[in-house]
Amino acid sequence: MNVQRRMNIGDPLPELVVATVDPEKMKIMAALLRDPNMIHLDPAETARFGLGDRVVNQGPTNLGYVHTMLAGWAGGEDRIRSTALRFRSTVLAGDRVVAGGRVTAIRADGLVECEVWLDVAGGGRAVSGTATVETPG
Amino acid sequence: MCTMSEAELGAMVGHRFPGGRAVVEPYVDLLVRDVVGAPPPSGDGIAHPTVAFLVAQGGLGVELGELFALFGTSAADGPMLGEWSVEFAEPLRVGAGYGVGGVVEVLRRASGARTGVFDVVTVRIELTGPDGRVHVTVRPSYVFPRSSV
Repeated sequence: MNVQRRMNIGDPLPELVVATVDPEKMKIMAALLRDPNMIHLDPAETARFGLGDRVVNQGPTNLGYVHTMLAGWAGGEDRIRSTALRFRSTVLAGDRVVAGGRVTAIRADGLVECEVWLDVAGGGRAVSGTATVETPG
Repeated sequence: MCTMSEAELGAMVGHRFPGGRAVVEPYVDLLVRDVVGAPPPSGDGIAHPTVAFLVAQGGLGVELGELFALFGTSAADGPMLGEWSVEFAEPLRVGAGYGVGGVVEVLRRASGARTGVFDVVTVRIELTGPDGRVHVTVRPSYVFPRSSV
């Protein structure tokens, strides 16, 4: 069966839900990135910037949730051809976030274009952008 | 505190970073997957796409703090990642080594009523595979608040 024929513009992508953004994961990412920004590690530093009393999730982690959602839908990480993402607002420790998207174009060359995002439950859109993937299989 | 004028910052366009080589370490792929809610490595040798961010930044030849300093700012000034894009000509492979080269592609100064003056710096980073072709192109855009401007 040709999967592409079952797909339509506007189709939603299966969501990835992160029930609670874990500050312990931020420590891992900070070490991997060698990121000296303490807003990911110290709530006092977050407060100093007027961002509340919870540490801030790293941008690469937020886009990572979107990549994970896309790879799960497309059938593998190697099926992601490109993404372009804008960071619109912060994700904080303890937030519930949902990565989602929808199909915007189905190309003759077998590639599928999507609008993608990461939303904070009860909050706003933290990440928005576009992605191009090979036809999910 | 930024003491660089807009003209001085504009002259940074085209600046090339030292670059170097980077290897996609298996432990990095495993840890990134854990952080971003992805399944463990499947054994196909394909790295999680987000690993491209770390390989690109790690191979640039400067620490993140040094990159901030290049543009007259520091972590204490609240720099942010504004945008990020990646294009895969080939998937990123665990265990593979890549040549890394980076250049300042775009720099613009802007202001907003709520944010004040800020600079946006976009860096193009290319990961070149053993075959000499660019396998991955990454573009992070950093936002540097300029409270002193």
